[in-house]
Amino acid sequence: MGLFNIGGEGQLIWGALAAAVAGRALDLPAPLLVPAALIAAAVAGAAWGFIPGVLKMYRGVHEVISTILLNWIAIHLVHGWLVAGPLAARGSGSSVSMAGTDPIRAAAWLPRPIPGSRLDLGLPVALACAAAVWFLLTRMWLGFEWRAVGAGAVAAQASGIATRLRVCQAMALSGALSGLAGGLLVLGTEHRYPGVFRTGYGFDGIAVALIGGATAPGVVAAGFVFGAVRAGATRLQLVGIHPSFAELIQGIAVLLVAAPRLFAPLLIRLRALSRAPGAPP
Amino acid sequence: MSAALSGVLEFAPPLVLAALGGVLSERAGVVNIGLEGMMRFGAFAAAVGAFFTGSPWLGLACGALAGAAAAAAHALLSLRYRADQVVSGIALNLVALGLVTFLLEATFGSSGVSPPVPALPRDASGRTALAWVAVALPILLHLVFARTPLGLRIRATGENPHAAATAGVRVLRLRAGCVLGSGLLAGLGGAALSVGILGQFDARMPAGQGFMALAAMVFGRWTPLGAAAAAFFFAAADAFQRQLSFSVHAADLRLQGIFLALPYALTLLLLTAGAGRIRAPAADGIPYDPEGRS
Amino acid sequence: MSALELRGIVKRFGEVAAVDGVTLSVRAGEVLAVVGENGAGKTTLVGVACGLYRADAGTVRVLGRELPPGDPRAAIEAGLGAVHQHFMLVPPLRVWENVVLGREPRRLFALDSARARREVAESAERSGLSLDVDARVEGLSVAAQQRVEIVKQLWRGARVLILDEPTSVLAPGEIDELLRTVRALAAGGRGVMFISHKLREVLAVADRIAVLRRGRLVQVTAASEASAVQLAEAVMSASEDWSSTPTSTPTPSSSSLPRLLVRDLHCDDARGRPALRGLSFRVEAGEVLGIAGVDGNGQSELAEVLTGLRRPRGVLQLDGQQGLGPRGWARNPGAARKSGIVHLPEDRHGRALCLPLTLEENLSLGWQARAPYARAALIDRPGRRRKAEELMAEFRVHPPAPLARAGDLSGGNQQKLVAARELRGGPQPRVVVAAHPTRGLDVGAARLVHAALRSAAAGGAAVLLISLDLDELRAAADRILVLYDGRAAGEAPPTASDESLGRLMLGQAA
Repeated sequence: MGLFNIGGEGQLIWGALAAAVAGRALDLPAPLLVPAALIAAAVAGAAWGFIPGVLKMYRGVHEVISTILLNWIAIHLVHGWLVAGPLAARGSGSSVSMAGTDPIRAAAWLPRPIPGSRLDLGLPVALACAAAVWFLLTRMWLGFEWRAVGAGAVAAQASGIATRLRVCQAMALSGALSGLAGGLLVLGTEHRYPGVFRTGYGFDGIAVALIGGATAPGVVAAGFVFGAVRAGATRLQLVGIHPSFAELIQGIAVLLVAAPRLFAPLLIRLRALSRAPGAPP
Repeated sequence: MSAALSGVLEFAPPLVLAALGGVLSERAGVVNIGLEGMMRFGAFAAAVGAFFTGSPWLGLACGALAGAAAAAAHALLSLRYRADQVVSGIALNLVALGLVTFLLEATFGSSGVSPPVPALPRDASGRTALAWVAVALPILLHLVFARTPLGLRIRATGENPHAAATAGVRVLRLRAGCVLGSGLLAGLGGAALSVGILGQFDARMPAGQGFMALAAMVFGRWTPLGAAAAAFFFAAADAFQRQLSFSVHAADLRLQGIFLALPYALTLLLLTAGAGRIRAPAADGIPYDPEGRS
Repeated sequence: MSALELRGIVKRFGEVAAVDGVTLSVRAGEVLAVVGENGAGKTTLVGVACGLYRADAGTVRVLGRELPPGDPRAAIEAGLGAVHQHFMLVPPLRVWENVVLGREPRRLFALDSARARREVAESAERSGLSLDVDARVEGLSVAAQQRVEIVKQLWRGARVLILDEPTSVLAPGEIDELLRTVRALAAGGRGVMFISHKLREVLAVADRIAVLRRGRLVQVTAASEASAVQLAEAVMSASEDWSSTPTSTPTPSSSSLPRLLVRDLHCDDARGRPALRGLSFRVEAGEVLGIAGVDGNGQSELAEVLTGLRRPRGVLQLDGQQGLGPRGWARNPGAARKSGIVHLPEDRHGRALCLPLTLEENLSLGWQARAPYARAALIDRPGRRRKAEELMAEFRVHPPAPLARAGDLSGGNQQKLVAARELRGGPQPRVVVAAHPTRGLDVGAARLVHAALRSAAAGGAAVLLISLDLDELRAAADRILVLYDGRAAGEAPPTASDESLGRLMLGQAA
């Protein structure tokens, strides 16, 4: 909706931590514990995403700056303090702890429905979220109001839409999704909040969203492509292609998306050519 | 006390230089989220340059040029093709992450660190010449902004490019120059990390320093002196935090993250509290369309 | 030799000739006023003169030198200075910095600020303009900013000055001061082209007065031989033939409460200066009240107040319900719409339409949460599509493609889209606020909009029709209220003569 949420990284980190804490502290059977931990993750991400929304609408702080700052606040508070200190695994001693938090309960592990496969419930959950976002944006009038604010805030406001509230809601939902992503990583793969958490998923998320044209189906497609590029990178290494190509390709793809004017003349020419096949170029 | 001060002068140059780069670009009206990527290119190119020429000074020059080259891509996309400046910066950061990792392995056959490279000479307190550059350059840039026709034109362009254009300023050319200068400074800042502080390139560089430079720029209200002061302050917090990490008390160690988060939290707090008074240049981030009305 | 000479200027935008064969000249030492309604071509003519637009035909000469078309720098070099309606100033910079920007005096590498400040102060003083050269522009009043713009042109050596609607942003006392300055500049040997639509000022300041109407030059008279009444007629003569629109009689409401009651309303404009200064009137259900007046006498602010976009002081009642206060129906646009107030805003691009969205989405904007556009939390896609097609057929929106983007429609079709949504898209409105609803529309489309307004009134709505076009008001309104300086100057029946309405618009008693 015309907003930049660069805070995906911070929201993801809080979501992951919330899932790790909930997955450890709550004593519930698996069918309840997994959703509970995921909800905790979403709520934590939403809260961290809500802050830049409020700051923008009520204090005029630009969301690009505030989300960048909030990312680093989250990174340092969680990695440098909470996970190293108050929430560090018991018995890690006084040395620099790389162990992270205590592991979550086995009941909180994301089920892996296909035996022998590393595929867990994360993929269906992510797809369900994408479907839900698509549904919200295209089939519900609440989503229409968000898009209207993005397409023309002045007209949206004049038509009676509560623009401030809608912006905060959209930022919070965006944060909830990032938080959920963090929760899925913890419950599905890490099974704890690790001392060294591979960060960068949040930034990948922005790239994926941009390349997907900021529509839900486009994002799913782009997410799959990049997931494949990342997963494939490890394997491509065997044939001599460097794993860092994942980031490189991603960056170049974003560049291409960023500058549509770069291609506009080319497209116009192609169209003109296809329309007048006999004409000289 | 003096030990702490020299620690600040040792660690501040990368941050100060990059923050000044941010100020230069954004005062002309071009958002530069890509500082982190430009620093990364600069840090790596400086290490390569120093390694193969044997001269840290030539390394420094390589770093600055690499930063400027990255900035040229940003200028081309965001000025010539009017790409979104935030998106272009994000893309630049991603490309820097991937490309430099790849080049590191291709050049030195390592995915972690480069071999040691010739580092800048240090004085008795561990300061390099860059420490004095970091002190002098903010003053110089301040004088350019306040006292020269060029500075006046930069300030006018960042606030109202249409007014500047009708007054005879060539807006796009000026903006391109400022973005290139920004990349030069950020690249130099990156070089200060590799051939200045560490004496080698580390695959994690610049580890968020580019973003911290952005925070310093905001904290310093987009002014050269303010941004430099903020950068020195952040570097001091960093130096203090480093001293803590050498201490044996684990309890102190656990507070490290709070110290690291402090600069960002303070910047955010300042922005929130002083919303009306702290504002970016009015045309910051808005592509200039010569035919469009203001 | 003329200071500025425009010969046979033609400028088209698409099919429409905004300026159609205008020949005019400004002599050194004279003030030539150019008057005309909005859309008469005044601003376009200015744009051509100072090189912002490239004319389709005709030549511009400054001090005898022909200017290359579409080159603003050449115009400045030749000695032409223009002060536009939107100031070209950099707010955080100081006055002297704004003046010298781009042509800074230097001493070695540095800006010679002492010399710059001295020269700017001298320029201001010589032309009798009081200005603190060290003040920051953002802290100055609009009038002082305008003086900065004038000094900027003078310091750069302008021999011909074009002032585009310079008084539209000024308060009455400031206007007198500006007019004195303009006379002094002419007395000093400069040629001044003074664009305005306020006849009284023009009579006070000009040597000669040119009248533009629909892109053509109608007359040029010496100010000494012109009268306000004759000028008003020349400016406003019958632009469209509205006569075929049927006029219905208002249904007087049975209760003593009017549909809309406005009493002693005050509010400020966007710049914080008083715009409404004690406005009072009432409108009955079933009535079309025309709001006439020269642009900028409070009409825009009145529309904003009624639709919840601007907070006023005073009394505002809808069928006896309070509009002001935290629970009032005019507290925000959402509440106003829920209370049955619809709005055809004057800025249809920014305020009425989300240009990137589709026609059917734009038609549902504001009603998106109700039937037939929605069912519970969901968008009722078939219902919305049916309703959109119905509305587009009724208002003859072309092309009637529900999935086309609003930004791809022509201006006239965009306005039809807005009218369709507001008047027919939701429940029967209680109050319709229509600001210049037919501006830029062809006659057929304008009739359609008028008929829709009349039928909204017939259905029980109170309609406020804000317009600058007296013939439109005569044809569509039951009564005409004239605003002057934020107050009601008087009221007239639609049969009133141009002369009597003109007097009210100039703030004189009828």
